[in-house]
Amino acid sequence: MEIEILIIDDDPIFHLMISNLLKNLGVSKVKSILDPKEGLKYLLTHKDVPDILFLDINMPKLSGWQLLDSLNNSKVDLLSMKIYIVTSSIDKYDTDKSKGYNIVNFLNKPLKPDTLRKIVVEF
Amino acid sequence: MKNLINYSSINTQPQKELDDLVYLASQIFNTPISLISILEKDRQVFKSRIGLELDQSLKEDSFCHHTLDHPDQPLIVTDALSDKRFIKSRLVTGYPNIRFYAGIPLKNSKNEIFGTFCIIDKKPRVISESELKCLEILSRKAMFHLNSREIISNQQKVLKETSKKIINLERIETSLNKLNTISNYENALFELGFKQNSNRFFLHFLSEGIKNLYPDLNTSLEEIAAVYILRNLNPKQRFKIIRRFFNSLNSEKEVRFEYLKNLNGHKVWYRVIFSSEKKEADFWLVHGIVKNITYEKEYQSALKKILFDISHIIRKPITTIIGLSDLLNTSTDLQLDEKLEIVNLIALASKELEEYTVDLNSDYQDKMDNLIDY
Repeated sequence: MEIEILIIDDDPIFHLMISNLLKNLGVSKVKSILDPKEGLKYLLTHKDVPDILFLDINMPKLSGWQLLDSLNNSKVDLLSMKIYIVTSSIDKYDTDKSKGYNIVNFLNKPLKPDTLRKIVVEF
Repeated sequence: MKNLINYSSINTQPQKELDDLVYLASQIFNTPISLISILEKDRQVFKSRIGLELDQSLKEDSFCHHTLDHPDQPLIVTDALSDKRFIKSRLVTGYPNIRFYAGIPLKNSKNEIFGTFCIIDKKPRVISESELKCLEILSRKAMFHLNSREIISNQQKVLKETSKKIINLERIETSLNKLNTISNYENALFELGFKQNSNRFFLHFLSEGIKNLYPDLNTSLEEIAAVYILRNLNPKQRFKIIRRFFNSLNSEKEVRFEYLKNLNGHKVWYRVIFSSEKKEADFWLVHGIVKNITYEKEYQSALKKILFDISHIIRKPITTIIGLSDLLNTSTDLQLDEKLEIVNLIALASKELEEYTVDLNSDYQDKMDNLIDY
């Protein structure tokens, strides 16, 4: 079965980079959403959640943390997808905060091709 | 000899008393020479003398230095010519041609020998027990007069040191007053008494600085006594602090808290630190300080902003540039137009970075200027 990946990030360049890298890894089922509110709506309304979610933190209108909180309060099955916070932030506050969400993993931008390969292979 | 005060240079009092004693000795013992000798490292100096035309002699010729060998005994030499210790002394071979010597060691308050009281004859003789006793009495009198100088001199030293200390204390007090005036700009010290049974505070002391800290305060003592700090807290905070205060009464631990107050439209941060000390069964002393820490807070928030900006604003274009470069490196199947597109994006991100740094620099400059204004 092919891996499904969802990317929620307001930066179009990040989408360009990650989808190219994923393409190199042979992953083709990639959905890119720029607007976090739209991303939340997508997750709430689609019955089948993606296998992997790459989520940015600092986004206008709705932060990654707020999006996660909304998901936590919904019926979405968070355990059936692997969630990666991907952020350029090296702020200790953000890494500490991610530890409070035991279902998420924390990755720093720029995402290295090797890191991405491991994530996809290990899945 | 190092322990001796400078006896030989004392020529004021009690010179007369010493001269009298030496005179008495020459009359009692009928000796041509009587003297009080002060021992120094290389010589002896004659403090008071009768019948001798020398005011000092070298240690090597000295009889008196030999008292040091037996500090608790008089030194009696009945005939110097038959005593190998003195046979070569110039005081024996030449003037004043000593033959007979009887000397009693003089000691200071530490029981150290500093000199001798002695009688000298130019011909051999003996000294009877009663004569020796008289010599001892005379030497005790001499010792008393000489040591009274030592005591007075020591007391003068103590007085000098004490007066130095007093002068230093005055200096410290002046400095403290100045410091107090300066520290009053941002700090207030207080001491409160507290009785738990009646749950009442008594204001013992409040430094002038309170007027700078709380310019809006009506500074009648009764008003401040109502624990002025607590009045500025919101009810929830007040409850918490009061609870911590009561805990501190048993532990005597330091309590510190910070709060924000709106002062004539300005936000002012205060830090309060206090600790309690039990004095009686139902009485505590509470010592503390109130500080204006607005500057510190502004500084902290500026630092936080810098950290945030580095982490979020500056790093964003950097990660983009690195990510895109990685993409160019690892993707082998990119078309030329795709490659150009990526290069173009790298250029955009670089420009973005450039603009951010200029903006942040001007932001920080403003913040810095504001901080300097404090």
